[in-house]
Order: sequence, then C-alpha cells, then structure tokens
Amino acid sequence: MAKKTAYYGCLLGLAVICGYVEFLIPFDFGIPGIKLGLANIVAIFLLYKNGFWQALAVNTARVLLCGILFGNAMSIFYSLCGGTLALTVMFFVKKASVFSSVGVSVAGAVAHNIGQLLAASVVIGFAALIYYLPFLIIAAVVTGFLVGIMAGYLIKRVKKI
Amino acid sequence: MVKKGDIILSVVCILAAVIVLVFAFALKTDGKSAVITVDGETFGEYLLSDEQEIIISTEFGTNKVQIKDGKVSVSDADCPDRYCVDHVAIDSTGETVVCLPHRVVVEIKE
Repeated sequence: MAKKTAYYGCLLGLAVICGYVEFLIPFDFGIPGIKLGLANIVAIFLLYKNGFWQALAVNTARVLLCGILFGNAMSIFYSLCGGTLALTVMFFVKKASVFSSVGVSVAGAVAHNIGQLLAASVVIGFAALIYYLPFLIIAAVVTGFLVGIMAGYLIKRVKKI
Repeated sequence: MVKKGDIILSVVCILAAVIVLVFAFALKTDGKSAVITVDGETFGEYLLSDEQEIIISTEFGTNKVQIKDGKVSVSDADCPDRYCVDHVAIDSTGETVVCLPHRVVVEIKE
C-alpha cells in the first residue's frame, strides 16, 4: 500500500509540475485552448503500465490540483471534460495494434480538444467556437505526436511497479 | 516506435482540418452586422457600417467592442487571459470573437 501511494504520488507530482511548466510558458497562438499537453505523458504512461482507472484517477487529481493552484473553476470543468474524453478514446485506440503510443496520444489529444470545445460550447454555444476546431485539431496532432514519443520512451524504459 | 497507423491517423486528421479551413476560407462572405450576446442572451445588434464603440459591462466583467472600417474587434477587456483582445478583427459572416470568462460572443451576421 505504501509503495502504491509513493508511486502514484510521484507521478501525480510529476503531472502537476508539467501543468506548472505550461502555466509558466504560455503558448501564444492567439487561439485559446492550445497547450503542450505535457501532463498527458504521465496519463499515457499510466494507461499503458497500470490501466484506465488508475490513469483517470491521477489525471483527475492533477486537474483539480492545477486548477486550484493556477487555474479557476471553469478551467477545471473544461480540463476534466477534455481529459476524461481523451482517456476514454485512448483506452479504445490502444486496443488496435496498428497504433503505438504515438497514435494513441494523437487520438487522445484530438479528443481532448474536442472535449474541451464541447464543454465550452455548453457555456456559450457551439456556433461561436466552430471556427477554432480545425486549428485545435492541427495543434493536437502535432503536440500529441511529440507527447506520444516521449511517453513511449518512458513506457519502454521504466519498469512496472 | 512510430507505426504506420500513427502516421495515417495524423495525416488524416491534419488533412481533414486543412480541407475544412480551405472550404471555410473559400465560402467566406462579407457580413453586414455584428450581434453581441452575453451568457446566451442578446445584448445588441450593430451595423458594421456604423463606426462605434460598444461597452459591455456585466457581472462577468467588462469588454469594449470597436466597429471600425467595417471590421469588429475587442479593443479592451478585463478578463485574465485577454484572448478576445488579441483576436484579429473579424468581418465575415459566421466569424466570432469570444470572451469565455465573460461569456461574451460577438458574431457577424449577414
């Protein structure tokens, strides 16, 4: 039990640091919602090593912590929607052997952005945001690809605990 | 590490997004008026031909919308991220500038 607490605690801490780094270095493409998605490296790592629910639990805790530390209530709502949809999509994509962690990550990143857009559309309506979707998808593919490669290295080299 | 499926998925997504962008750009039409809504409720409708500045002050915050040279932009706002202020000026039907924290949507109508 103590070993599990330490293990998940470490990974949660790592994910929060990733969120903090993104907070310090804001991406400015003028389009809201584009992030590096570094914390997803941890989420994907957990998905492969320990399972869907473990990844979801750590991701939810990370969103709450980051939201309390350097976000706000609405950002927690958007991130939870995006992150949960992303993990669900990644769980299914992972089952297809034609994808490595890279494809899983790209699918997750695209789902994440769509999930956040849907959450924001609950607040202000979908028509207002539809123009952002192509830009968000392109950014998601690029960042998802890189995050997938980094997660892949971690998955390969870190022994399962 | 990278498999064929990864590449195909990435290319398909990017192509789909690019095609949508090309279509949106090609089918763009000049708008005639701007409609501002706050939290889903219509705040006002303004002709793009009338140069004016509109101040929207609600419990969510304050935004200043400027109509000049037939284009609409947010000239100032007190929201934390100021994405709305950074946004390029809009003038085509369907285009929007959104201030999410203040629930303000500026949309161009024909």
